[in-house]
Amino acid sequence: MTMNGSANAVELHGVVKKFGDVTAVNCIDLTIADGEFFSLLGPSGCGKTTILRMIAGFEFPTAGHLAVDGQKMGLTPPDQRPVNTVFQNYALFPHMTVLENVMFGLLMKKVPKDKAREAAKKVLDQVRLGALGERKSSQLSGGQQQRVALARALVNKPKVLLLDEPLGALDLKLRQEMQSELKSLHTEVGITFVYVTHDQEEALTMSDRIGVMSEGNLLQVDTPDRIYEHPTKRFVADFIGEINMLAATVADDGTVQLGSEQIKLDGLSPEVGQSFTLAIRPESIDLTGPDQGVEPGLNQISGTVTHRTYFGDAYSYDVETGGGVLSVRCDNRPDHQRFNEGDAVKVSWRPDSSSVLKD
Amino acid sequence: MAALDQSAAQADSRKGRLIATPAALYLLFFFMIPLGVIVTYSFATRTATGRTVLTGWNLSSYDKLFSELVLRIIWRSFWMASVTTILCLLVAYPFAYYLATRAPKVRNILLVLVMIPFWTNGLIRIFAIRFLLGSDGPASQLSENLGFGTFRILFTPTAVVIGMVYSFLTFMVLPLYVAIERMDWKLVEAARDLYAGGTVAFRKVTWPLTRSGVIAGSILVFVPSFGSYVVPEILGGAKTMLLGSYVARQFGAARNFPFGAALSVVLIAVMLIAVVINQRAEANRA
Repeated sequence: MTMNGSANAVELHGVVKKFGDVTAVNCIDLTIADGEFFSLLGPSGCGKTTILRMIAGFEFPTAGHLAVDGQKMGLTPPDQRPVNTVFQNYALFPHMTVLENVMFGLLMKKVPKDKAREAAKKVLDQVRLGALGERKSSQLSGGQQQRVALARALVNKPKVLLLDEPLGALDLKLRQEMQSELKSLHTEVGITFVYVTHDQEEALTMSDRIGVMSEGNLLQVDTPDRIYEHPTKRFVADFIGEINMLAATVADDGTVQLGSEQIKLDGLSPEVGQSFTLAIRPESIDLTGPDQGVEPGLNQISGTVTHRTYFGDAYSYDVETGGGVLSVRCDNRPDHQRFNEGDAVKVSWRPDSSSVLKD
Repeated sequence: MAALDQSAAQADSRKGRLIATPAALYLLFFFMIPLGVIVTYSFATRTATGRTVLTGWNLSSYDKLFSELVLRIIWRSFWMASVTTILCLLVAYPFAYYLATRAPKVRNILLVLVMIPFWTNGLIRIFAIRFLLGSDGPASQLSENLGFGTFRILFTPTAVVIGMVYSFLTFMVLPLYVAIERMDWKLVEAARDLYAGGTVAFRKVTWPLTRSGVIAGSILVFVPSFGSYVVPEILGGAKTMLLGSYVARQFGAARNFPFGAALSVVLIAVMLIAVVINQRAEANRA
């Protein structure tokens, strides 16, 4: 247990949470660094919100323990933890004005009233709501309520800010706007953000690191690009974006047998004869004519286009190959060579742009 | 287009009026007309033989309201209704809170349990309390067996308050339950998250957000307590005459209909004031 400033913001050690017979969170170890923007990503019911609620102190682990800012939390109630929460539907106090909402935490911490008011006004300015302090929260739009909720939490300068699907109730345009605003706010205040979402795009665009969860398990913790480009589990690959998953086996000469085709794989060396799932993103694959030359060192397989879909900014092709059907996505650039259904083609990709998946 | 819209709206409102007609007629005959009679009578004259004469309108019945005896009865009724309301609130709030925080299944069972006493005649239940509180009744005997001696509370204000709390408790429980049940518990969590301890969170969030239930329940208990007739008649003594009994007496033994009517008008006025206060409070919240 470290007491200095470089302590990890949040640590979970073997944390389990059961509700009756249901295991909501299954033995999770996780360290979130000071100042990090960390996202917990997963479908609803995967346990991500339960983890957030345990950090906040609304739930207590059934087993294991967690620490905030190097302090073991144990049964510490929420009001004595150095964290604040932005709730899913904001949970603004309807019987108070915006300013009173933002001042609440400071007044509870016995900050003198005039100082609290000053600090609250400053944070409201920061979220560009300075003029609305005297309004009741019910008189605000969704986006404004969202900002008040942020201000109400940030004004307390918590060690960790917990955000529970804070953009879920906003429409698309506003959500995208708030994403970049949240990101710059994070940089500005330097507080650790723990962000719960089921929206992969939100997680990818804002986070320093993402933890992907499913059914109470933390499947992979990594940077957004690693999570997207090199998922390690079938669920992670499938949950985020589109991906080709192909059955493969390790051939005796160290190459990979993909149906009737042989390809190369970087970095990983599974045992000979072992079968696994090879994953590759549609946009990582190049499509060329059957006679066109391909850069040496790339994996290449020939196949036939069976289906083409137009997306405006891109074309998506289904290509039948000896290794299985591959979905290929090509940007619709002026120099894009368009193929038709039935055309013979060659697909190619870099050996390091595919991933090996375990269940 | 606009004409079509308009005629549709007219048809709608005509249909609406049609649906409301039975209730409107019923209230007209059995509420508005009797109310008019009472107000009229309150300005009428009582003859020496106790007949009511509908000529020579005057305010003498209202003058009598300010006699010391009447003021004392009104005051006594007022504070006993207040004590009843406060006791109901103290008993009902924790229970309603408990009720509202149970799983839906348990909640429904408890709600039915709250209603069950209403399946029995209220008069009989008050007589049961009279038996229970009697000086040789079970409560007194239990107290004696435990070494505290017998007690006499029947025919005292205490007995009346006990009876009224019992009779009107449900009117407090239900609005409180509704208010607490529909409260967003995330708000309490938010308060806890913002460094409020459990008690402070209750004071700053739960209580203000359930105040509409407190006010509604208080009115629902205060109003019938203030004019209560059955409970004080059965559990109260001769010394604790309350407004309800006093009004009844004017229409009975005393045969002073105008004065009884004037007292009733006062009761109605007090209740109206209570309702207006409630609506003001609701309007302020919104």
